[in-house]
Amino acid sequence: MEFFSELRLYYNRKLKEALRNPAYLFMSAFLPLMYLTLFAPLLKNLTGMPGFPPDGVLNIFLPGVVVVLSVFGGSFAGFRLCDEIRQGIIERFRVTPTSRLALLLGAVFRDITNVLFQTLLLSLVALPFGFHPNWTGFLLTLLILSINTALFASFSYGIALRLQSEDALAPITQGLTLPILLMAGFLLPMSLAPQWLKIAAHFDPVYYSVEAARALINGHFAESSVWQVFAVNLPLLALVFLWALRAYRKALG
Amino acid sequence: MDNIIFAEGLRKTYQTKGNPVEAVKGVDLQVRRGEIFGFLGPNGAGKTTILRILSTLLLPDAGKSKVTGFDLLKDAKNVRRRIGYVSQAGGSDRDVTAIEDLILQGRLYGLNHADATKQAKILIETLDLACIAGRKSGTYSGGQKRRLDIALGMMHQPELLFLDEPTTGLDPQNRARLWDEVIRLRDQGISIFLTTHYMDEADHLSDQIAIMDQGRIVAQGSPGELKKQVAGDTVILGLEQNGYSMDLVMQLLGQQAYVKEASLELGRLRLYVENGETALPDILRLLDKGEIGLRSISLSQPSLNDVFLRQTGRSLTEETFA
Repeated sequence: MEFFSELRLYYNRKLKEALRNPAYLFMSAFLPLMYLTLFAPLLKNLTGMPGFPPDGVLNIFLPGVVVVLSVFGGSFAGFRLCDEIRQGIIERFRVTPTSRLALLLGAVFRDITNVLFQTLLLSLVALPFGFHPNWTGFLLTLLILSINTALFASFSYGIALRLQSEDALAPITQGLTLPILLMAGFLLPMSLAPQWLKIAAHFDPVYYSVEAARALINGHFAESSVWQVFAVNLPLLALVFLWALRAYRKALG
Repeated sequence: MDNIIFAEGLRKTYQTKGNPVEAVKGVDLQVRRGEIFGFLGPNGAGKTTILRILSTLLLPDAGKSKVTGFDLLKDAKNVRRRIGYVSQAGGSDRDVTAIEDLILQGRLYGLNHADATKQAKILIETLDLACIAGRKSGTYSGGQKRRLDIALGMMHQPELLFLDEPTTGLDPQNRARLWDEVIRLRDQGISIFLTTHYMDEADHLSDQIAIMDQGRIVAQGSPGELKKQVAGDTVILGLEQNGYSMDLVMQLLGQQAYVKEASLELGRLRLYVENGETALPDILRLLDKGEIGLRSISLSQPSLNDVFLRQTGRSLTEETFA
């Protein structure tokens, strides 16, 4: 009981922090729409190419984009944490008798909320342009996105708590997310990739997310990526989350 | 006597690249309930490390400690319920109003919204934050922010309040004001443990002082006791050069029982005496009787710096302002 009320307090605090920040809200809403307006039109002519079904490129493109949103939504979360550490806010919370799990989870849930909001907004806007998801698959995709966000947010928080500097966090975040995203085939299907890249992709957790999201949204529940994404990303999330939690439990600095 | 902090053999070594840094090398501490305990030492002496250990933020490598009656290692949660902690950085969220931040803090300690609001309003009133409480704390002056930080530490009415360098960066006016606040809290029955590298601050505020240097406590006691350990008071006499021998004057005064040592420098006579206030009238009488002309006289009492100097061979002021 106590834990859930603490979790709610920390979650609400982070949610208010986001709602208060116009830049955060603006980026939240417009980042996904940018993909739709600035990149999606290029795909029009790819209809019927290998990897693209004849009845709509958006069904292939949009799952990739929402996975990108989950990776970014998670991996940039640590930057604000650096600022909170500097202000002494995290230390102030750590002296209270509240649960460290609630402190970390409150922040991660806020990040998930943000990504789900972006995903719903993007999907809604894409509907009139030919996006036609399988709705059961869509719901399962939301679950995959939540796991992804939690994974990258935990990682980002864990690094931020250990390094406590945006300057150190930036190159790590950039250096990690770019290859992970490119190898996952988020813009174009990996079926277009040469053999070596296809093999390399199997070591990328986000590859499974993209593949599974595409399969699910198109109603292909029997594809192996659908179970693989949970088999790979759930244990990985557990590992990274515990690692981040340890950083909260242990002292800073 | 009832100790609110009891610590024995605390040690902490930081593992850094290359060589480990021994920040705390075996510290024993006893802090009495209801007192202001000042922890004085130069930057890097290990004060903050001790404070972070005692406030459950840092695990010591060795040693045991009871804070507010609970074992620090086995029962941190009970300790946390009873202590308040104000770090050097403060801890208030600059994007949030004072009232909002205070209510959140109260709720984290299990108060319901109504009780947290009530307590926040009391603290806003007593710490004189009323006219700015509705503004985001990022807009506050240094003194206002400090008072909010302390209010945050007080929301759950702790028995013991930790203050880490509470007046660093404040102007003299705000410093004096904060000192008054700290004394007022003590008078309400709250025990206070504060670190500082300002001697005057430790001297003015503390009921008990521990002086720390290079990971060890080098002296401990009340400000008065500590200062009594050093030579005593110093009287400096400026004499008129009227033909009589300065050496003879020095001899005359040096013979008095209360003078421990007399020396001559640059035409001034320096006397180390046990108790300057009672020695002064007698010195004046003697000079008068010998018709020795006096140009100036000054009395200085030992400072905590003299205590630090005596214990470490270094001056605290040099270190602090170097």
